[in-house]
Amino acid sequence: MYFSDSDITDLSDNLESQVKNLKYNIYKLAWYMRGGVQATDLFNSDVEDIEVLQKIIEENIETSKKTGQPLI
Amino acid sequence: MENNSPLAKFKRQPKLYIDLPSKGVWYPKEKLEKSEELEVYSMTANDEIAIKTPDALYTGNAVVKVIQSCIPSIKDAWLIPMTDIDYILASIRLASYGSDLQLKSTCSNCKNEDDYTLPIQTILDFTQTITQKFEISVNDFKFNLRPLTYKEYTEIQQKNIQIQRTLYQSVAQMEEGDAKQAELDRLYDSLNEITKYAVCSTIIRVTTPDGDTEDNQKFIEEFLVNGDKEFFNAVKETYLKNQDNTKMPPVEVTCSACEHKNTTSPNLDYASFFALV
Repeated sequence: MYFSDSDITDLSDNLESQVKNLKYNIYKLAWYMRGGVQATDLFNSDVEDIEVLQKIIEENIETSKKTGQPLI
Repeated sequence: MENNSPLAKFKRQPKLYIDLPSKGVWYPKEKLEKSEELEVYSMTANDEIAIKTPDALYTGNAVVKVIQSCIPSIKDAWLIPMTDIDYILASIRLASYGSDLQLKSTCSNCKNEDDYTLPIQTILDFTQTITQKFEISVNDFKFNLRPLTYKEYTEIQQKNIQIQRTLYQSVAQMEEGDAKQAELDRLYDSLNEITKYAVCSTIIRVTTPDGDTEDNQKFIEEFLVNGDKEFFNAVKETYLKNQDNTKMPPVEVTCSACEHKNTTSPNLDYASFFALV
């Protein structure tokens, strides 16, 4: 299969944006953990564990929205 | 710095255990702790970043880093024989993202694009049943062969890509004439050199009809390249057949729009394979 220059640029841009997105999610997760976990630990954690933590945070945000309580 | 995080002890439990299809035969002893029940860990966020770094993917460094991170019993992933590589990558995929591999297929009839899932277990089962020939006899000469290592394979792939790009980008733009022909000849010579390198690299020993053996790579290469073509062709044919045997057979899928039956091949190409998240 032959990749033209523009294909390679597109692929490269796409991967770069995925990496940025991943980093954004990790730092956001670290922020929500309020110091409970360092970003470096998260970068070395299983991708599955990161998904679980993200789900817990989303659930907590939903709960705080429903109850009107501040998100701690 | 000592890691005092309370999460440390919960980090990275093995997700599955694998036995290497090669049974560890082609690995240098110090580079492989064991060949059975190797722990496979899920990928980390850092591993994901590595496999999304184009340069690291191109050079093979990303794959090597991820394998060593997810299967610590493999000490030097560059030396993994190609007989094991798909099995190892499929098991890391299984440990990290679950049991299904996403496939895309464009219908040959109506051009509709569908997504399908293939259980990774199918790939694991296939890669465990691959049969390859590592001993051949030609005119009473015996040739003992080995699979290429991931390092050798990556180097060959890189050279092939470079030649392909030159063909498409430079040569295609050149005007017909002697200069273009000379450039084409040069590129075909380079391709032949790559094939020669690949074929010769797979030979570990030659036994003569008298029972004498030669395992010096330089002498073997000389014998093969300058000797009777029959020897080189027989080894090349076995090398190519061994490579073909590692290719997963296409899977039949049905188009959701017109119900036309198409075939699609599971893509184990490392860059796209890992990027299907």
